[in-house]
Parts: sequence; structure tokens; C-alpha cells
Amino acid sequence: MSELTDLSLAELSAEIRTGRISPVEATEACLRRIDACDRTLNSFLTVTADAALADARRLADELAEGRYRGPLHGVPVALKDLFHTAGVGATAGSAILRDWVPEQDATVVRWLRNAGAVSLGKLNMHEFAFGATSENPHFGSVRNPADPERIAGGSSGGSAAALASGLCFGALGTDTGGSIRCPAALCGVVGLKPTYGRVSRAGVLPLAWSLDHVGPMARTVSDAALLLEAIAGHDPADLTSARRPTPPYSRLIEGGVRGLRLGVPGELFWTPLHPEVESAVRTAITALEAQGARVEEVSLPSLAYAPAAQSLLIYAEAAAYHERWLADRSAEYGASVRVRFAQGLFVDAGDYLNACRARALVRRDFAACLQNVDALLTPAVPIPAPLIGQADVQIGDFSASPQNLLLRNTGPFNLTGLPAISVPCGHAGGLPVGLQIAGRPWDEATVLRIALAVERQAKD
Amino acid sequence: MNRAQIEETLACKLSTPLPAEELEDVVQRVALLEEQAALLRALPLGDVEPSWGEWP
Repeated sequence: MSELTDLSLAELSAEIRTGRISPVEATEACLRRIDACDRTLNSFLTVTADAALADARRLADELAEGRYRGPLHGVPVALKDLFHTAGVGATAGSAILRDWVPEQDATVVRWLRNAGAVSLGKLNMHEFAFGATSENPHFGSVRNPADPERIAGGSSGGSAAALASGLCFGALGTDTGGSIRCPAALCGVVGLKPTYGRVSRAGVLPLAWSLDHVGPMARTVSDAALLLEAIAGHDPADLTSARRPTPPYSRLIEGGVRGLRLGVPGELFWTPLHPEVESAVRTAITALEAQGARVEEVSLPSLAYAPAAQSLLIYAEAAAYHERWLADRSAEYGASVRVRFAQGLFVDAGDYLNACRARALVRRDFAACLQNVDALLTPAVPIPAPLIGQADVQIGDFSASPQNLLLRNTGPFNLTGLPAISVPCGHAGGLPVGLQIAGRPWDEATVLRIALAVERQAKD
Repeated sequence: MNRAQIEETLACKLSTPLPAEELEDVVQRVALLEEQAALLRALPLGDVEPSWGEWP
């Protein structure tokens, strides 16, 4: 990376505030970096260079007049392409919405702009967010910056790849089964799925209403905290938005992990697991223990049926939203997502309601467990990034499709709505590995605090 | 649900018939969904309601 795009969001923010770097310089540096790298990565679908530079100039003028909006003032960011953006297309990675241009910004986009962020454009993703690889038949696959022959993960693959390559300083993603945390883990960046209800979903194309979350992605934990501060809060336009004050996350993440109780659930999170992923994650957990956390094994019996509940909910809700397009334009879907939407047409109402009831049990189970520990630790993704087009992943005697493994460990926290983050914790065969930290409802601050301790340890 | 029923439903719900390979994929996926639904039906759900509710 060049010197400027090598900065973290927080470092850039400090430079902008003191006038050593202008919003225009920061924006121009990102645009140059996009020009230089994105032919390979394919992380952006739309670069709004002129609008970004105009916004940056306006924000520079504001600074010159002594008007400072806060830590995102003049900071270049980018948005997954299923966020509505006024006057700028939002394809959701699909052919069906290729020419659709929203008239209004999504709430979180508006709040980011109000906080002073500069949007560089829209990011590539898995079609309609219904998949974990970001292999996109309409716009091409997003490539992993650590190895361009490999997937970036998904569905927010463009967001993770752009961040890891220094094309932007922060990004927004969405997460229905792990679509923020999976690409974050595979590309070596930080991805946070907040508590369900913490961040508005208004103006974001849904995949499955009861599982969808919006969250920040960044290169560092502190940067993710700053972004979360800007996008969290009650939004009357989203019926599931919680009426809770937004804590000052960036001031709550220091303090270390001494005295915290951290639970390590067994069950499905660890089997099968790539041995080098396991090694990196166990090393990170041991380091937390060495920093004063108390680590203990915990049991979550409901995990045995969590994947079934998650699966029925996501397929039924996704098919319900897409029913009209399936009836009118089914040929315009890519083959792999078309079969998933078609599958969802066969969930009957009784089974859907049973899945909702099972979710209530899973939530109780996790909540009871989290009365005894402050957070849960698991591998974020059980494998390092597979090759683009790879049909099966082999771990010992076990073989499965990447899609079946990539979201295995993240899905339970969509089902429960609990906050969960992926933070880089090492490498497997030279590819990034993420540790997943999940916390109590509404306690993103503790999740971020633990993640910061992991990040500092990993950098030492 | 058997293959013929799936095919009949999809004929009504999709604007374009699925290629044979995709149809086969859907048939297998529906069978998996049915297994998952059966697993949940076997749970002692008692008077558990299908709502998010408040955090306990």
C-alpha cells in the first residue's frame, strides 16, 4: 500500500482533524489505489469518483471554516451494493437489478454521510447476498487479496477485499448467516455483526428479514468501533430497530481482558476444522488467557438443531421476498442462487413456524450460557479461503462443498441475534484466519474489547 | 415430496423451466429441507411460541 492508504481509519481521522491530510488527498489516494488494484480484485461494481471528490472538497471547505463533523469527517468508505444509494445503482450483485437506481439513501448510508464519510462507490458481492463465495456470474468473482486465485468469501466479499487492499478505510456489509464475518476472516480484516436491532436495515435489500444484520467492516477493531458509533441507533423506518442509546464504543474498548470469563463451546464449531485454522485460533485463545482472561469450556446443547432452524428460516424468507421475480424473471438469476431460491418455495408454513419456535429455544440456551461467561470464542470460518471454483474441501477424511463449511460457525449468531465479530488471529498456509467472538445481547463493547486484545497480540 | 410434485410446483412458480441439472439439485435440496424439518418436529417444543420475544 502507499503510505496514505496504509493508515487505519482512526489514524487518517487524526491526520484530517489536524489538517495534515485533507479529505481530498485521502479520496484521491483511494481512487488511485482502486485504479491500480481493482482490475485484479474486482471488488468495486461502481466507483463514484466525481461525486466522491465533490464531497471531499465540500468537507475540506467545512474543515477550513472550523466545522468538524467527527471522526469520520472526510474519511473514504465504500458500500456493499445492496445498500440503497440515491442516484447510484444498487444491483445487489444481480442482473435483475442491474439498471435499478434508488431514489433515496438507506438510513445507514445517510447517517454515514451525515457523519462526514465520503462514499467511493459500491462493492461487489454474492448475487442477492445468497451465498458465501462472492463468485458472481454477472459481474465476475471477487478475488482474495492474499491470493487472487482464491475467493474473498461472502456475501460481502467486495467489502473485505477492498479493505484488505487499502482501497477504502471502512466499509458496510450485511450478514444473514455470516456474510460480514466470513469474508472478513478470509481476507484478514475485522467484521462485526451487531445485535439484531442495533443497526437499521431500512433501505437495504433483504435476504431473510429475521436474520439480516447490517454491520461495519474495517482494517482494525478501533476503526470498526468508530463506524459502529455512526450507524447504530434507533430508526423508526425499521420496525425491528431497538430503542437503545448508542454507547461510545471507541472509548469502551480499552481495558484489556483481565478478569473476563470467556467460554469455548465445543459441539459443531470445531469439527471438522482445518488443522492450521485450529492452531491459529487455539494460540489466540491461549494468548487471551495469558492476558488474564479466564477461559472455560461451555456447552450449548441446542446447537444440534440450530443449523436446521437457520436453514428453514433463510430459505423460506428468501423465497418469499423473491417470489415475484422468480415468477417473472427466473432466467435472469445465476444458476447457483436460482436453485436456492427455488428450494425455499418448498418450506411449508408449519415447518417455518417450528423453526421460529426452535430459534426461541436456541436463544434461551445461548442466553443462559452467557449468564456465566462474558463472551464465546470460536473459529470464525473452519477453513482458509478455497480456490475460486473449488467444488469440494477436504479436511482429513471429511469432504464438503465450501458453501457448507464457510458459514457453519457464524450462522448460529444470526439465529440468536447475538453480536459477533471476526478478528484476524493468524494464518493457515499463508492465508488469513479469523477468531469469532460473540457476546451478550447489546454488548458489542465487550466483543470489541476482546477483539482489540486479540488484534494487539496478533500484531506483536 | 417427490420429483414429479416438485417439478409441477416449479412449473407454476418459475417463469422459465429449470435445466435438468438444476432440477436435480433442487430435488436433493428439498429432501434435505424435509430432513431438517423432521428434526425440528421431533423437538419438545411444548408451549414455545414462534416469536423473538424479549431477551431472557
